[in-house]
Amino acid sequence: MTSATNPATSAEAREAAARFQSVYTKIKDEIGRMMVGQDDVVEGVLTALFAGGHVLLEGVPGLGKTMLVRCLGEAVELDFSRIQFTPDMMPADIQGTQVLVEGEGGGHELEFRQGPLVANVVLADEINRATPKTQSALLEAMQERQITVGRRTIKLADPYCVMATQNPVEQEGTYPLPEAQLDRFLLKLIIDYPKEADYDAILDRTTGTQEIVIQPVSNAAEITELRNVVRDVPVPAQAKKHAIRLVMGTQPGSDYAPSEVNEYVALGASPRGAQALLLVGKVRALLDGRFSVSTDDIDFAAANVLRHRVMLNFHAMSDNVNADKVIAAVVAKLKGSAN
Amino acid sequence: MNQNHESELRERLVQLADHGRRELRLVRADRALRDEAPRALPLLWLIPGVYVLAAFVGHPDSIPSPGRILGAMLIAPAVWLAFHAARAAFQPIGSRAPLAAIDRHLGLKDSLCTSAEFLEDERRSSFCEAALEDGLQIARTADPRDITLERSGWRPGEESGPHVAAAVLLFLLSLFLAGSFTDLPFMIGAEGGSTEIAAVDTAPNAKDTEAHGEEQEAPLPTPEKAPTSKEDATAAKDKEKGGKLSEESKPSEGKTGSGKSSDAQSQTAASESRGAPSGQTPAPPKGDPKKPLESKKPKKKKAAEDKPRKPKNDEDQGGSTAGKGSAKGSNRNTTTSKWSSKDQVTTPDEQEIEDDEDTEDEEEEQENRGGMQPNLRDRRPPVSRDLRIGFGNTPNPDANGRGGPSEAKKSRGTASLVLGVPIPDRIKGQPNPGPTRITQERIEPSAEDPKPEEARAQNTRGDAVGTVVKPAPPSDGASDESGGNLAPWMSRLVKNYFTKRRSAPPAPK
Repeated sequence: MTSATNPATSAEAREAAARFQSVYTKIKDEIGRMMVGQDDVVEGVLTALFAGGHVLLEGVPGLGKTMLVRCLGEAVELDFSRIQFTPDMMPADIQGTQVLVEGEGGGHELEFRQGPLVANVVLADEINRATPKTQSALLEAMQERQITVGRRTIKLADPYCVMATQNPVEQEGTYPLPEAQLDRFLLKLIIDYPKEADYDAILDRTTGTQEIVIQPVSNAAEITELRNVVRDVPVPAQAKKHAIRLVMGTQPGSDYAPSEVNEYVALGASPRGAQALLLVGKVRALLDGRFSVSTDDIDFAAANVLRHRVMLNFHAMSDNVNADKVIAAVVAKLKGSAN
Repeated sequence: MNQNHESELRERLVQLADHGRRELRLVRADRALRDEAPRALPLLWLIPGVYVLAAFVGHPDSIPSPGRILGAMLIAPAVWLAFHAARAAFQPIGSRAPLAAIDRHLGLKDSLCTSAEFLEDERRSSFCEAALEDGLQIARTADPRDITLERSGWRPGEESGPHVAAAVLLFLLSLFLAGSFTDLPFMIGAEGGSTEIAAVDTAPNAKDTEAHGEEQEAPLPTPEKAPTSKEDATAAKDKEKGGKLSEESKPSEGKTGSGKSSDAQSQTAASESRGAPSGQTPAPPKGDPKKPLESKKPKKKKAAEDKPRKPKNDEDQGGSTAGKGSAKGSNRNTTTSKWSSKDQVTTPDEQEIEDDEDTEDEEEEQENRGGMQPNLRDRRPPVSRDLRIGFGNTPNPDANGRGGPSEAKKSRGTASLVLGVPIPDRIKGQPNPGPTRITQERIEPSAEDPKPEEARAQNTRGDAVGTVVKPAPPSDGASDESGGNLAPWMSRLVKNYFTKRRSAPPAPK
């Protein structure tokens, strides 16, 4: 097996890209044994895994959000932990804390017990049910890949990926995620109801006696290696300029903002949005068998990358305009002014 | 990628860029035409419009020949469009923009544009090399002759229709004003007929005037205005119609008079027609709008006198609805009830006078408030609260179950509104009867020194500790302190007393 890190020739680059596609497809197929349909969501989760980002999954209950993340953890043989966020949860519950334990000689000593945040894939289930205090305990882990408790700093192992779920319907007793935390998610994926054709397979797989066991098809080292392949994909100036204009287009008052943005957007995307666009574009280019990012890749990633980074104002809510509509308007404007 | 491939790719990219540049110029020119057309179209009618305006101002000689007008009409917008199209087309276009346009047109995912960029890069990564190899393959398959960028294809549409129509009209008008209208081949002989057209035009005007006069409402009599023939004709027709017209014109006359709003007038009219309920009351004569106001008061008094005084049925017309189980308040005066208190009882005459005065006062007040107001009933006495007892065996007819002498009260409160929850009207007893005595003691805190006791080992206790007092039988008057120390004979006496008392049969009550 050729090392995919820093391929020296074009042939090695092609081999690395082919390996990336192969591993990606294997993981997707393995998840597909359990997860029926929802191809876009599965691809989004895998894209975030390979791009080194975190995912926020939003959907009504019963659509398989938790199962998807659990299957991913099993398929990739990563250290998986699940945190069920509750309103009474404290930061120490997820980061870890010092507990008093009895030593062998009968004495007592303080020992640090790691929280569930120390893992490779962390499923933050119903993340918006925890208080902002607890939610903010994730900030450092998501951005810096480390946890600081007291004087202790724990470096989190690569690959590290937080996959949070939230329910858009039951908002009572929940705490909306702050902007700082939303911005740290690479993608926000909306899980919709399955198609009619998928229901048949869902019912067969979940109500019978046959138990599906997900087999590991990859591991942490391979994922880390393929992440470097993704980073190697070059971004031409045109695609970079397009990503920048797309992000600026979501900022009210900018030259690239359409009228919808000026009317409905309170806060646009940050430079993190442009970073995320390029990273997702790189994964997309590799999956498409190309070796550079195109403007089409940026446009493809725009909705998933930017929808949680665009904060709408009251007019948007009253006119029933959501972030996807605004982002579509920005993309349309940039396309219209291409020639 | 070797040098040969590089040069081949470079060459092909140059070819594609040249072709794409030409196509892009056409696209931009086409877009400029589309964008500038709304500004150019008004030029079609602007130039003949200027000529027509000059002719109206008094310079008919300034209108040139039809050919010149037509030429100016068409040349001006054409020059405008050509200028902007040329300016857009000849803007400098770099080498990447045509390639990007071709990429978009052919759906090549920016391959050509990216290849052009990577070719210029001296330090290319392996991925850039791979991208260039792919770009070469794509560039080989892309034939410039097949590439035609999509244009908007602007054609004059619906938006140009009004402009063209206006231009044609103004052009014809300018010809007419310049006197060259007859020169046109299709208008030969039209000059002679123009007077006829004018004469014909005037005739319908007169007819229209008459017809219009018939439809017009009768004008208000204004002495300053001199009578015209039109008005005479109208008056003659009015005479023919007789009084019908005068009745039709009634509403307009009211507008001149009292200065009230239309609602207020209708309200006033309603109050005036009291006692004469039909709407056949003759309207006041024309030009005297104050009359109705002046005759208002006597008319009303008369109406009140004329009104037949019916014997009052207390059951039906009593002011109070109390005792009928109705929760509604009555709008009627409760003082008219025979059960009203003495100080509220009034004689019919007094009532009548008060009613009249009240009505007048109300009207004056309403006038002062700026018009007719709803009946506020702010002068009415409150609902009777007479708690007098004295109805004999008959129930109080005013009893409403709420206050005053009546039978069972209605339960009230929120709980009573819930069906099936009986609420007793009175409290039968108390949960803890009897007086409550509260004693309060004041004790000054005092320091107390506990005796220090040293710890010592203790054996198991073998016997009872302390003095065991023999329980004393109950005895009246004997205190607890001395109960345990009774003499034997006294104890025996007490015991016998109680034994005998318990064995005896209970005395009948």
